[in-house]
Amino acid sequence: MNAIVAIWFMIAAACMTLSLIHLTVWLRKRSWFAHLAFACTSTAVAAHAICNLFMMLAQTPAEFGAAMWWLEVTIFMFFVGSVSFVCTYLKVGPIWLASLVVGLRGIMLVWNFFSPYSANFTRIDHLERVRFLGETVSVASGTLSFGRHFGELSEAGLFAFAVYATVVVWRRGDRRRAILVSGSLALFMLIAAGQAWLVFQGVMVAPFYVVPTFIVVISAMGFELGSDVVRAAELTTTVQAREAELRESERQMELASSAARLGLWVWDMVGDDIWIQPNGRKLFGVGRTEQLNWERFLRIVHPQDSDRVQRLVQESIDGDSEYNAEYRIVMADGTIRWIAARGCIDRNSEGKPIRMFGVCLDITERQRAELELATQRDELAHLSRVTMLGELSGSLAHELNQPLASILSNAQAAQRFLARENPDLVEVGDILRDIVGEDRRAGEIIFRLRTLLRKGEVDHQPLDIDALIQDSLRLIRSDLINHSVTCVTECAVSPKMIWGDRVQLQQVLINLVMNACDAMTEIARSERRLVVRSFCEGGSCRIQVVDSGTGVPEDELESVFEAFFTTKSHGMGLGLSVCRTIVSAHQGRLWASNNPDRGLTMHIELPLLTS
Amino acid sequence: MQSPEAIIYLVDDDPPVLKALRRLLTVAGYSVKTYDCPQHFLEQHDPQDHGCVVLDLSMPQLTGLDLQRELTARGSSLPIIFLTGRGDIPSSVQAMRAGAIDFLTKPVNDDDLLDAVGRAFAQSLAARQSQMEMEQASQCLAQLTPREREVLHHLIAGKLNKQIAADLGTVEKTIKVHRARVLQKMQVTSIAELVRVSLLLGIEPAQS
Repeated sequence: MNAIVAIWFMIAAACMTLSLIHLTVWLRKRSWFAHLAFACTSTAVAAHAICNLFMMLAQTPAEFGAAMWWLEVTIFMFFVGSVSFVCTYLKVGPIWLASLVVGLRGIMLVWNFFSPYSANFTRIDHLERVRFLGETVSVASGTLSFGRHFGELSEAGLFAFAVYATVVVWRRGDRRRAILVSGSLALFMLIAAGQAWLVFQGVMVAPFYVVPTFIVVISAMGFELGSDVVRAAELTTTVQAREAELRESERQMELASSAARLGLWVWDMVGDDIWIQPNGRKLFGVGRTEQLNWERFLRIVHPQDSDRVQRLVQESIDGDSEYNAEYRIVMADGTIRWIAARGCIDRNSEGKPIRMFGVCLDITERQRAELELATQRDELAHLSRVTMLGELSGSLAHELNQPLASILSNAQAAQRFLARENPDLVEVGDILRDIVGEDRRAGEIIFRLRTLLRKGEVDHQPLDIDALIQDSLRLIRSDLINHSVTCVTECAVSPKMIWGDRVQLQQVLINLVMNACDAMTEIARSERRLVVRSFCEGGSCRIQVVDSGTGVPEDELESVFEAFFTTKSHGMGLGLSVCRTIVSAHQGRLWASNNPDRGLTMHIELPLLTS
Repeated sequence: MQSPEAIIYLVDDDPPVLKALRRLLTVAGYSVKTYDCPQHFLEQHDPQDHGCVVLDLSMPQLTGLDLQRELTARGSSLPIIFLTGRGDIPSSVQAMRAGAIDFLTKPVNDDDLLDAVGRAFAQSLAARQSQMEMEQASQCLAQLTPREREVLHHLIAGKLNKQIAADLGTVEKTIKVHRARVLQKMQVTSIAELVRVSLLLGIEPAQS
């Protein structure tokens, strides 16, 4: 075994190894064509080395010619491999140039088939023995064939192609690849082709150096591809890490939403499929694998709320507004839970709704607490109302006595009329009509009283503020008289409708008027003047109760609304605090201000009812 | 029993009540004037009015008690019957002290009201009679000469003619004539009667 055989075999083995590695890569990842192209190039170089070795070791021209014949096949393979590698890996090169280069070499290959001494020679006269790397090798001497020119042309073409690719890739900014891949290909192409040309021209009597030069090109290409594989591997690791992070964040999100009792949901409106987080499913009492769609969802919603939820969703779709609903759901065991849901619509480029996504939250506890609070508030209001009416009882008795007195006197007058010899029946008829009228009046007073004393559900309905003021003043007319207070109402003509509970708002008004009366006990009777005013301002209705009393120190204007604040010897000091609670529950405001001259004004502001 | 000009003045701020009471009192045979506002009544009131006032205690602006005070201040002798929606003891005490006939609670029974009205009218009548008597007496008194008035003072002191003559420095016979004139002018027949009328007029007997 001499040195040349050893080196050439080693080169062939190295190239073959590289080729196999990248072939394996390609087999596993078929879309990576660069690996296949490289495997092809690498195999070509390995085969080329073997053929080259046989040429050097040939003892007869026939042996040399046969080896060279095969050599030509490996060169063609090299051309195909390297051109497609540059095309696929660097993604450059005009296809026509690539095809031209391969085509020229193809002519060379076809020529080769028809020539026993390869496409290069028409005839090999004899073999010369020359010294090369300390060994004696064979070098051919004969007549060059015309086909040899196609080889030269294709070699020049490959060189040009490589140079072009180098420039393009260099300009693209990827200088390392430009030099390592296409640059090295161009350089060694120049060396190999140049040396071959010198040998063929007889200038140089030596074997071809093609193989050792091409191992450099192969190495450069292999190195690049290898780095890519390494980079891909790194990328995979990163992706895996990211995926783990994503999973972790999803898990955290689920934990957080589970802790917050939030359920995320997405409703695919096209396919009518509702995706909901596991804890959301638990919230709605839906199994982990059960298919959920719009119809199934509506079946869970409480029948009384179902229409409203549908309307709200439709409004959100039509108006492109946020979906915001609070509704009840009925669980499988019949228990009712309150859900608050928010969501928004996702539309495609044509504006058609395709998805709706949002969150839902169990608000049963909150709702229960609110209900309890409302009940307590109403109970306190009732208690305060009863106390207030207790204070008013004397006046109310007087108010009720008026019709009763009138009825009794009328009836007794009628008895006397009838006792006469010729009773005046027309007069008696008049009397009876008056009695009926007065009885109604008494009945109305009792009805009003009973309404105020009632401890029923709060009943919100549209109310005319002026009627409310008149009703309230009628009930406390006697109290005003007892306090020698002159009461004036100033109601702006426009009808002022609000949404509220008649009883509770009457309670507020009566309370304010009673307070005003109490505030004026210290001043001369002729100056006890009370004004009840109503008007609209912006979107709200305003009521003012103005007294001419002693007023309140500026720094106490707010504290009068605190519970147990009182300036009176009687009462618990709950009146105004309850009044404020009631007005607030009506989305309104209640505050006090001192008048410029004297006395206090109580202001109530309530939102006007819109259509 | 009531004199023709005796009228019941009804004052109540509640028109239906006013109407019902007017009916009742009218059918009971009284003349009734109604006022739904105490001010109107005061404006039209004449101290010489005769009868009684039926007054609601609680009215806006001027209460029944205010009205009572005002009437007294104007020298009216009209008796007052109060009607009230509630039995308010301090008010009733105050009203009764100020000379009210009665303090009735609404709804008022017709007999109670008519009874009170009857008493009020009796008081009004008595007051009117004593007033007329006094007016008559003072007219008589005005007819006396200064000398006769002097004799009157001594007569009601229970002195004998002789004593009076000595006190006035004249003869008994002259005194006798004066005495007859005084009795005649004062329209009385006895000294006892003269004493009663003199007391009514507030004439002091002469000091001995």
